[in-house]
Amino acid sequence: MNNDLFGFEINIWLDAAARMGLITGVMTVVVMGLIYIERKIIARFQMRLGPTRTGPMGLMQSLADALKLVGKEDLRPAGADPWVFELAVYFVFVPVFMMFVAIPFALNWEVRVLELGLFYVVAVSSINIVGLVMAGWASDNRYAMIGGLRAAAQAISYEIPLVLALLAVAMVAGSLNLTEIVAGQGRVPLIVWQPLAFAIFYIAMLAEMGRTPFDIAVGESETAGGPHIEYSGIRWSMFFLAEYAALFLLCLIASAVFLGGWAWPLGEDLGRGWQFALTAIKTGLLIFSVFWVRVTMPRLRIDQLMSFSWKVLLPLSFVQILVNGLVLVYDWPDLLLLATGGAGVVLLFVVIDRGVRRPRPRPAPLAAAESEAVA
Amino acid sequence: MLNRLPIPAQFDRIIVVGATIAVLGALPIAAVLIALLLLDELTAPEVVFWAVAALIVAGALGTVLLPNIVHAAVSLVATLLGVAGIYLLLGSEFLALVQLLVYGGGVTILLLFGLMLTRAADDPVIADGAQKPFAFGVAALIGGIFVAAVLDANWSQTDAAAIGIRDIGQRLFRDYGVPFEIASLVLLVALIGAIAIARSDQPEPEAAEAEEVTT
Repeated sequence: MNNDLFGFEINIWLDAAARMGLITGVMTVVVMGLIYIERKIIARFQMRLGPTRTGPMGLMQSLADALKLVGKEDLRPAGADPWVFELAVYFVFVPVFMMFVAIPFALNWEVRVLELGLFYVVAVSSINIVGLVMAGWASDNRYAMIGGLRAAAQAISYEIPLVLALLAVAMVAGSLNLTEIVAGQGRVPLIVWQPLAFAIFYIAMLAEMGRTPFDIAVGESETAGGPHIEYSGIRWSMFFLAEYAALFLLCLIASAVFLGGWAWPLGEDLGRGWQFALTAIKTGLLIFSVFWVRVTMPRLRIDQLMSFSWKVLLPLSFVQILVNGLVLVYDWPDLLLLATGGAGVVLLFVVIDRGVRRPRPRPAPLAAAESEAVA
Repeated sequence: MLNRLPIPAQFDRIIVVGATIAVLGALPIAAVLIALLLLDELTAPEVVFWAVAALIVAGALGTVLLPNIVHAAVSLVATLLGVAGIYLLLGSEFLALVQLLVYGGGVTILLLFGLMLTRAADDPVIADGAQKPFAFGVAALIGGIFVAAVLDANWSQTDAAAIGIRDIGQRLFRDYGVPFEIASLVLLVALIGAIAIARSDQPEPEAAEAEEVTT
């Protein structure tokens, strides 16, 4: 049995091995690039220069860091559980790389076309949180344990709005195949018809990746680094490889599903170079916005984080699905989708604005002491 | 005993010994599978099937036999993911992904979460309670049902038609809408019941203190 890879006929096992090797190699390079870009962008936001010394414009900084991390001693605390501690890394790392399989970069340019691609991505990405809980437990460290439990609670809560937002889009697109979704968007990308779903997906995506403002699991001031606290050397760098790979892949999915991927606005007939350029531009913009949010927003408290998911994002995504169902089944005008989605986004912003401006309640003992002092 | 083994000091003894035993266990299986593959006795999907089946059995044995309860839970993850692999080999992608999402992600996390919020966080030893004979009885009963079903099944039909997701959706939400709604209602009742039990009638400590202050 032979498979076709870049026009070469090769054995099916070699084919699988070659594809896996390609994924790993590409992702490692991409992640090193992302780390460099993030450091540069954050530095500009904070009126610094960022890495400048290693290589031209500091370009070799990530490579140097990676080499340093690989060379570092791989420590494990004496009280840690050896098996779970060592295995946890792979549970975090492998699912993220498996997401890569379904993602379309250009027309007929993906590892595999999956009929249920969107569902596959969601299902696979739900596994890596098991790794964080395992890491937290096995580290024999209270901070790591709290961080792991927080990460699990957060991921379970935000996975539901994430999946429902993607479900709403899949209803409108009428397919779960990522290639069909991209090709089927035509002249108007799905973000126009489903702005609310995009907003919910974007917020839930930040939370799923554990990035600011939802990075309570690894918050330095609260859990001192969370589940990664006891990891060092190459294992620590694998956690970060997984985190940045997830950032890259989720932004790619968002650009494919909501922004029209390689097709919009130039259509399908253009060459592969243009298609890659379009994917890269859209993904790059989304990644930049994630970095922008990181330097702008303060971290949420855990109760704020939970109530935002369950009381705001979840009801809004249910309403969006209900409206989509009515519009699609009864053939109501498409503009209704646009109107309700737009109204939903406005409502989301109003809710966030009210939440931000609400005066913080004083802790009860402090308030009592103050009132006594006044009396 | 482990300290006397001739292993370089920078390697971890437990990991090296455990990995050696695991490799020695898996190596004969892999060797036989590769030999059969090269002799064209097996096709590639069959090789994958046997590998996944070995993973499932090993994981299930680990779940039952490991003394550490967290190790048992992690071993259960291997079994659940292996079952997803079997669904994939059977051509039912949807079921495989649901297995991955619900069991690989959700149930496993809840299981670990539950373990870590209880005594297992510090003392993860399985303590057999008085339920052990009952658990054995239930396991024997379910195992008997499965064995009977397998022996009774008609295996002559070799290839099952792959059912597309559209058909599943049509069947679930059009043809069998009422059973689906009843199942969701049962889940809803369970959810509300859990919330009712978790929220006890007693006022929260802060509220109680505040009442005391006002009175």
